[in-house]
Amino acid sequence: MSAEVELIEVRKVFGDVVAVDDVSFEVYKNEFFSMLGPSGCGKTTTLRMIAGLEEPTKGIIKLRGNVVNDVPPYKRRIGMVFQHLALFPHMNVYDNICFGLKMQKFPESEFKSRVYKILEVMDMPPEIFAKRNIRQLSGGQQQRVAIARALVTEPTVLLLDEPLGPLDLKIRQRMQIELKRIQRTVGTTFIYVTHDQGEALTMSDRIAVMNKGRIEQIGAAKEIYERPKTKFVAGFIGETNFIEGLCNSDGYFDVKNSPFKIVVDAPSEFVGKNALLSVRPEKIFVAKKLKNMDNIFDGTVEDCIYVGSFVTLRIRLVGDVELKAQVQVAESSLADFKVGDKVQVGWPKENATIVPLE
Amino acid sequence: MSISELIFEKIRKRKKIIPFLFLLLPLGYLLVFFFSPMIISLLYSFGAVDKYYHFIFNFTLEYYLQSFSPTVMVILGRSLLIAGLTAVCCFLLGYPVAYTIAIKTRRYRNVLMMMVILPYWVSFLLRIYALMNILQLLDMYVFGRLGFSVVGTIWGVMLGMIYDYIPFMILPLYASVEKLDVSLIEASKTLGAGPYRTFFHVTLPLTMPGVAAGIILVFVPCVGEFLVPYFLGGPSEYMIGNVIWDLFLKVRSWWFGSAVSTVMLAITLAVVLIYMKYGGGEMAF
Repeated sequence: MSAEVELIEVRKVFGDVVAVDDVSFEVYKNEFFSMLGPSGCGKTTTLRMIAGLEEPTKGIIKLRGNVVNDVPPYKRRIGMVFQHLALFPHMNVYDNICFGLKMQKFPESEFKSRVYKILEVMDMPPEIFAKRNIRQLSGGQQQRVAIARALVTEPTVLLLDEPLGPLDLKIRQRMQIELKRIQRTVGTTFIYVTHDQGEALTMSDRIAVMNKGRIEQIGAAKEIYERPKTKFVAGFIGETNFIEGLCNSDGYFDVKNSPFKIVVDAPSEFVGKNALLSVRPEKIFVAKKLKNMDNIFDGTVEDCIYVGSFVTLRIRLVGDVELKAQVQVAESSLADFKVGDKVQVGWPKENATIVPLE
Repeated sequence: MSISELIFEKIRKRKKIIPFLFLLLPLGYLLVFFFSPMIISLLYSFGAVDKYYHFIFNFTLEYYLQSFSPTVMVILGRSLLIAGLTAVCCFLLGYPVAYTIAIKTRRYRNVLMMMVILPYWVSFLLRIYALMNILQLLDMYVFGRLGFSVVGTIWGVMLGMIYDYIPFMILPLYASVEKLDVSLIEASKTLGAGPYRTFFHVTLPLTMPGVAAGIILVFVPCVGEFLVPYFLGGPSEYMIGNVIWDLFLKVRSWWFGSAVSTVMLAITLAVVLIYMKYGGGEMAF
């Protein structure tokens, strides 16, 4: 696979704040790539550097194999969808979408057919919407126009800066599916910036998790979720229980300040070191009596919250370790828990991961 | 209607009246000190007041016929031309200033805007004298040797006019550029438009309300300007403001002066309305 976008040790400093700290990654052709992280992690700055709207302090940015550090944004032939859409308020839908075609000198005879075609891809009948004023559109429709405007010139890369942020939950979920469909239809490389882990997991082929200007981990959604490499990734994506302890050479994890030994599948680099064990609430089994599992511990239900499709339990193990567990309501006949119940919790060793302390 | 409904109705009506109460004071002020002098001057222009300031039942178009004489019309045309030219020059010079202050400078923008307004802390007469002195010195030692002079010519008048009115252009321009969403400019760039095309397709159209406000704020007072041509111009820069000044204070024909004022007002208003209709951006009606 050829790299459509490539960043090599890119760094961006604003004053004395390091916004992006030696970031390197590649995005391949036709990929849906997400940059995920909390606000201020440098994801938007990285995207803006790819667009050419910010200049990197150090490092190399390549588009389609060419170094573009000195190429201004209007010559990069990328599409960008802005966080607040940035639709031109003095133009109607047609003129907004046509703007890029005019500026990039597409033949005038193709303007109308291209605009109409992209509106159809967006599921907006051109006869109805072409002449509409931007202010007459709903949030979801404005979204589509912004994406259409960025896509109509057929850029090889489309950059999206949290474009679904201002929409409410229902439309946002629909637009996520729409975006994925559009991406498959046009076959463009998408680089998507978001702080919403659900959004990133739903749409992306690969995700780069960013924190404090650095990339913590790059991988497919499943890999990031199931095999987080750092404490930050494990904690930021989904919920998890952290248990501090020492990785023994015999395949056990000695819990700190506690007699517990947990059976783990620790990679060799952790052996003999202090580390964190991360186990997600939905990967923990809870029952009156468990059997045939690598780890089984006794505990007491401290808290029980009914959330509809599942029950969240807070369980204190003998020896002062607290765990959060989720139990599907489908199994609730087996798991009708009350505060104070004595229960057993457990998980097979592959359900937990070991991450470094920091 | 029950009693409670009647009370509610009364309260509702009272609530509608309150906003108008706030208008009463400024409206009354304008009525006494702005509209009434205009009406008095209108009465003068039709000869309905005698020289003892007494209202008389008289109506004549004599003063208007004098106003439409070629001499006055040429001077009025010149005034409109100088005012228009001043407005255009103020726009060309003021836009980059307003744009730079509003977009490129984050920390010092208040200080810079203060500097734009600063000259207005000094009396106009003082400033125009200062400008005259500087220009006379320049005439003597620089321009004179090159074979031309500024004071007493159209160049002096234009310099003075632009110097005096450019803040009225920069202020509304700054206000509208500052409101501009910078991501629109960025969007334009990512869509393939370079700096110039971004300016003409996005920035300028979106700041048109500021441009229109600035043009009108500069143009209207410029038409009636009389101090700048008096100090910095010569006989061939004599403007309509000077005509009115002379008619009132030298010729002492308040009737003729009022008629010329009214004609100037009407023509200026017509020009502004035409501008707003065809070039005023969002001010169009």
